[in-house]
Amino acid sequence: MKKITLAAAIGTAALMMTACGGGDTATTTAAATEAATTAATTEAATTAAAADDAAETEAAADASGDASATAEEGKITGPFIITSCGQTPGAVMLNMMAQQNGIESVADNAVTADTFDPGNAKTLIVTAGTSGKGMGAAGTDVNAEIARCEGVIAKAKEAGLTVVGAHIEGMARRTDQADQDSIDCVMSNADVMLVIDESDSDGWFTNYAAENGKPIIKVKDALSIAEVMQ
Amino acid sequence: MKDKTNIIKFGFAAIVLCAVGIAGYLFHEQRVYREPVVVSENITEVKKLSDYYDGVKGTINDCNIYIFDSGVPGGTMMLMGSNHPEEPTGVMACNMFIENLKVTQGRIIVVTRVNTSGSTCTRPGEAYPRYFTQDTEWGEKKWRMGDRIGSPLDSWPDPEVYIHYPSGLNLAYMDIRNTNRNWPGKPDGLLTERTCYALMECIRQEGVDMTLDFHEAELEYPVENMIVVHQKAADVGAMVSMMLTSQTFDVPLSVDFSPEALHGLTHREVGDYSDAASYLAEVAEPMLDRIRGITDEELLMSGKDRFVMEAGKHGLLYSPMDENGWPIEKRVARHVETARKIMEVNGTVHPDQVITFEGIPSYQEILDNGCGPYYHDPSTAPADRVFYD
Repeated sequence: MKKITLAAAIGTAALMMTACGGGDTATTTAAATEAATTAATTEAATTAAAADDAAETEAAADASGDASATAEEGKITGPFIITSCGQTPGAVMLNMMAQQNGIESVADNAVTADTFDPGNAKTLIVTAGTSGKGMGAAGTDVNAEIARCEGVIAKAKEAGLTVVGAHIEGMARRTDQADQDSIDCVMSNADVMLVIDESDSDGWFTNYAAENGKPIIKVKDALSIAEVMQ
Repeated sequence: MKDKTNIIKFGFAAIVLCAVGIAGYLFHEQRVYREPVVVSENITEVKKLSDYYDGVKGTINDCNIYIFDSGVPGGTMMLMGSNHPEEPTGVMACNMFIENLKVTQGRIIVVTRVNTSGSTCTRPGEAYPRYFTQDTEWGEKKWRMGDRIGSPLDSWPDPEVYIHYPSGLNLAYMDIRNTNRNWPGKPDGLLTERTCYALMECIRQEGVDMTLDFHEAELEYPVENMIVVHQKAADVGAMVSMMLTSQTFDVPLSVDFSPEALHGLTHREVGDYSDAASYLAEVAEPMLDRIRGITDEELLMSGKDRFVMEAGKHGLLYSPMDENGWPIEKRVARHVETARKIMEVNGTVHPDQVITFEGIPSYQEILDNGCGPYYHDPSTAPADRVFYD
């Protein structure tokens, strides 16, 4: 009931965004989605083109199965299980975007390999980047977070879920070695990468995707992520 | 020879007395200066902090509590400024609300000077200006520039070790005078502890649903251009961050959770010790940076500094910084808009806590017009609408 109430509330918030001049959200959703899809497709193509070894890229994309196909459509598919490798609010943000789209989703920054229950989820999203405040609050550190997330990712892959590595909180989560360690862990284990423009303002994620043959979905900002969820 | 020595001694004594006299006069002038505020005609009541806990009665921290009650059931928001008096956008944003607000549903409570004591002197050794002013069409509106912590004239001596109550956390000794290290307060403690306790009583007795504490931070500090939220406000905080970043602000507003092990701060303790969800907003203030150049009112208000800008070129900052700096209107506008958005989003998530209001300029209006047009002339206002902080 609480989830339904929250979903309804977020839906209202979406309507309100339109009402307060929020970039004509309602009228541009389709266009924005199309743009996001185009951008994602373009990025995937760019990634493939930029790869030194096209055959190797293709093999990597094939290995990711549905993930690759999804990425080429510029979409990620729910239901989602979402966690953060670094205790940032990124998982909460993605969870709210999913619920705004009416997609079943759960955010859990404490999930471990032992407690991981895939249920009917199709995708595990792990957000990268760390919060000193968040990790302090949870009594953990980046190394423990990496170990936790690697365990969860392994379980998710065993269960056949697509793993999305996300960086959606901008350069504020790319400030120190802890952030980079989190990013390295998440992206190296991801089938698909999801990043916002600000996070990739120096092209790091685009280059990483190209060098590692990973599909990448890029969106304008965190609020636009709802448009690539299905 | 002896006469010559005496003349030198008297000369030095005269110079020292002159210096003491001038310094004493300047200290006294700042300490007794009161900031006039012309309250909106829609205000309901102005109470004193001691109305909620008499342990602060008669002290310098017995501040005004400005209450705007629509009479229509809804939520209650408390806005707090000058928790750190050296971060002036808090008091400016609070004054903008107090002077223009009309609440149409729910209630808004504004506390302009959380730590009045800290606003009566500046930080030793920092060469801060004693005042800052905003040009308006009727003249200059003037505020006291303050320190980060309370004045030793009001709370002295500090303990060797400050042990936060009730967590038992050890903090720096001078933080006993830092209101944002003393929440939820201690009723029989030193002045700052009693002040925070009184404010907690205000929050509890008024049934406040959410609090927003306005701050500023140096660009060398990682908690920058951010809202820090109590866990019970995680959903709303995340949504506010995404909406303002996507739709309104040129520099993103990040969000982070309040650390459960760091005590004494509003975003932790207000949420833990009351029903309110607590938020703290940070915006960039280049004058707080260690590497700044000349420290004067111009830097405080324009937010332009070539040394800080140079640091940005070398990747040493956690906030963008260019030749446009961080002007005061942009910093105030971000705080005002953050408050508005928290109330909007919270009302959708908690329909029983809806707050609606009029009269407060938008982010873009403040950028376009500056802050001046939103402050009113106390010399021509009706006497019953002029209060002093």
